[in-house]
Amino acid sequence: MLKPLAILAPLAAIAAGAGLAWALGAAGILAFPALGQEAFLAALPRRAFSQLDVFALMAMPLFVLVGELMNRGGVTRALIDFSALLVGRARGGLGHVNIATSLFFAGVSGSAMADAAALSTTLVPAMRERGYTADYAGAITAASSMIGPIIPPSIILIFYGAIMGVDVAALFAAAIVPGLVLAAGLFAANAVFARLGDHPAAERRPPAVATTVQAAPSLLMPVVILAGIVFGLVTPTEAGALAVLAALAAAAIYRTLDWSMLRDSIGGATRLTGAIFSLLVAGAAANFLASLMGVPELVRAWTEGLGVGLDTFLLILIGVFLVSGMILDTQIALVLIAPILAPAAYVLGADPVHLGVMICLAITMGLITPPLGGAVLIVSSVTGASYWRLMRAIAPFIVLEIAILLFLTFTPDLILALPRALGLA
Amino acid sequence: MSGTAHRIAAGLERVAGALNRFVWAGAAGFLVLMLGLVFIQIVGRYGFSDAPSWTEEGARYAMVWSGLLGGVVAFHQDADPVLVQVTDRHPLWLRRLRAWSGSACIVVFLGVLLVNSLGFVARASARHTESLDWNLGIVVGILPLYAGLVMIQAVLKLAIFELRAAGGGAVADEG
Amino acid sequence: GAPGPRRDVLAALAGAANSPVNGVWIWMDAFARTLNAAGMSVEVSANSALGSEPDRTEMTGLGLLHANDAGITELVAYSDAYRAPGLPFLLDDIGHFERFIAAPAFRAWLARELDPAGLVFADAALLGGMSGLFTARTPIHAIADVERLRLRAMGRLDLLMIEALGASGVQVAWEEVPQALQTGIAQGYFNPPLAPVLFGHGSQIGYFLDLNMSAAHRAVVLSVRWLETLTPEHRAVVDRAVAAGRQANRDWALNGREREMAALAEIDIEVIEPDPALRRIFAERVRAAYPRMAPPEAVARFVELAQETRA
Ligand code: NA
Ligand code: NA
Repeated sequence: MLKPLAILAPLAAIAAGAGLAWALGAAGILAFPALGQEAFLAALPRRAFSQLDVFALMAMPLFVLVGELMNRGGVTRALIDFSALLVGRARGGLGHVNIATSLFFAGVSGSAMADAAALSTTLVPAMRERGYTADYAGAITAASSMIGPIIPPSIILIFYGAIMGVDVAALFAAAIVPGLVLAAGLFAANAVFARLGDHPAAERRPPAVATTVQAAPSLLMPVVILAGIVFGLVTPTEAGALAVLAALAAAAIYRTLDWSMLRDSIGGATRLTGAIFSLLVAGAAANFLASLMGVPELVRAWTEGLGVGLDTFLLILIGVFLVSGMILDTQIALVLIAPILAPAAYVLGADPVHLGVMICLAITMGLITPPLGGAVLIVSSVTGASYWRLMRAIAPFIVLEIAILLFLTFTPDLILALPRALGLA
Repeated sequence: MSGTAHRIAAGLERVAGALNRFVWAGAAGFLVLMLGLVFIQIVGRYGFSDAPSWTEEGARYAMVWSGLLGGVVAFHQDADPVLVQVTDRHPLWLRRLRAWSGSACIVVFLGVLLVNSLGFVARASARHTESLDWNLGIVVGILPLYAGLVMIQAVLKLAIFELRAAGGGAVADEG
Repeated sequence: GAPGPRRDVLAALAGAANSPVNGVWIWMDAFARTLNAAGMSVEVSANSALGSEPDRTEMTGLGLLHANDAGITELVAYSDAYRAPGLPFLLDDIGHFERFIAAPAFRAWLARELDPAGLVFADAALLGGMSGLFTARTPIHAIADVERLRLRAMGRLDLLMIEALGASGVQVAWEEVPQALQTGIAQGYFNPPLAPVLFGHGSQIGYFLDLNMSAAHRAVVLSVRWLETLTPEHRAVVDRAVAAGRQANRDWALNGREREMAALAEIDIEVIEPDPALRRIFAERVRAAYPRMAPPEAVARFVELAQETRA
């Protein structure tokens, strides 16, 4: 009786348009008695609090706030204009602009969510005006938001470095090339779709000098933050706070800084962070139950039974992390699975820095894949486009990004060139 | 009759809105507090090579309070991620299903969390926090507060929906 | 069929289960084997899989988790008495530590404070040798060498100790220690010999000053609610299992000195044996800060108990 109820009732609620956090939370709660673990519900509040009371999480609201400030402060606008100057006049110009803006945005923001939210409110409406379908505009926004957590600053890479004892600066340096390759692949895909869908070029090229001058403070920000973290001058949380300061300064330069802009930015940041926190609390129930049922141990036993070489094992690893990124919370997936699987890859000859970047890239893919692609959800909730229609439109980009992931997995020398040049790997 | 229902609904909307402004002020305040504590840490660490030990712990707790109060705000403003968008254009029965099933999920999820939180807070009161030496019970009290506030907003939202439906005419999508 | 674990005893530890360098695992393994041999089925959950430190303490208090490996801060969160076993320079060596934690006066005091939280202190699981000072680039030969350093603090107590030594402290979350060491945000930290080996950032550490500050350990804690449900026979089995855990852990820890030094040598960390006069200066400075590290009346009691249990 309880088992079907635990599954069907929340599914019905989701189908009727109820908030995911509440349906997920209810399903988790009902599953405890269904699996005979109801006694452990008494420990759930502690578990939920622990899920939130995490040092590494602090950078999240800060970088969300940075995204809001950049957006309202004219930074996103300046980056979009500068991107339009560089790539806007090609066929499918606004699609290229969307990708290029995410590339610049990535140097300041550590999350795909902030990028997806910022471009959903600014560039997606502009793309629709120019004749792009809502689904394509949303799909390219979510697909290119993936560049955000790969190009440093990146919360997920810091988290990985910490639990696996891999040098974070080396991980950052190693992630820059994959971020650029990802961007290059998306540019190419957008060019193809532009030809197929006959997407227009941007209407006009913005004035070169004025646009560049206007963009300078926004372009300087990623350089300073990137250098600060890669060269180890600041921690990620501190970088987040400094990025808030930098975004405020840029807004002051753009004369957009006033009380209502500040209030709206903080409002947006608390709302977005709050929605994510509700999901974290709901996820705590499911995560707790999974650990009580010994799911991680089952996974480990299964992988230990395989006797394979490095390339095959890397392929399996990427598959496992792709799947776990889809169904688990990012940090939980890393904490539970990476320490079990990565050392086995070291034994087979994998490089810890290269492997770390690949694992994080694979887990991050969960942000744009079903069932709960976080970046797609954000685009959906900001633009009002249907989640599943977006998912369908994003499918070719998912295929492309998985192909890039596999390419990077088997070209470690390409990824390690930069950290080696900096003496980090 | 329908006029009365609408008037009561409007009154409840004002109550929910006032509560939300109060909760939002808290969420915003704790976010700013967290930012300030991180800045103190930066100035301490790089300016004086000596960061006060309580800034990290204080900032972490401020983040949790801000995030959970923000969760209440997100619910009130319908900013929670959904898989299926149900809007005013959809038929009444679907909107009613959304309102009731969503509320039922909240009652099951947050009700169980709230009930168990009371014991958790009581046990945590026997503990002190690491750096600030605060009573941990006060810090984790945000959990039942969060669960309670979301449930209050859910009940208000449901009541407003049904009153508007009973009153006839347009049923506001926003709570 | 119905899934779900079926066991009589659920035990948990923070670290890895298969590691030959993890003293807590050695303790738990012997504990579990003894229970198993007596017909009680045991599940040992490793790698903090059941939750973080406070999560596991909460579950132990609720009787959901029966035996837990807890960090010192978990006990200190409820107990003033447990500030003593981790207090630097209070106890002279491992033998002194053993006598201190076994002293009936200490056990009674601790039980009084842990009982309301539903916890029983079973034993300390040693992690290897005594803690010392790791430094990245500076070998320490005199107190002046320390005064120039910025050292990583885990929490408030560490900061007080670092200040007392005349160095400057910086609080760095454990996630960020390798980065902090690499960039010079922190230039050293206090830990037992195996720490850089276990956490894999040995390349950023150059020296280990073998100060014998305190016995690096974690606490094995049992659940009061669980113990209350046991028959006298089962209770006796649990007592035997605790004794077996202690024995296995001590056999491992007390014969581990050579193994630890070899592990440090392997990752190019030079071990410095301090001059007794230098250790005395360290100890005097830190002891002067005790009244700020624990309630003064508790400190007086610690010093008294430490004196009584000195060989
Ligand atoms: Na980034
Ligand atoms: Na984009």
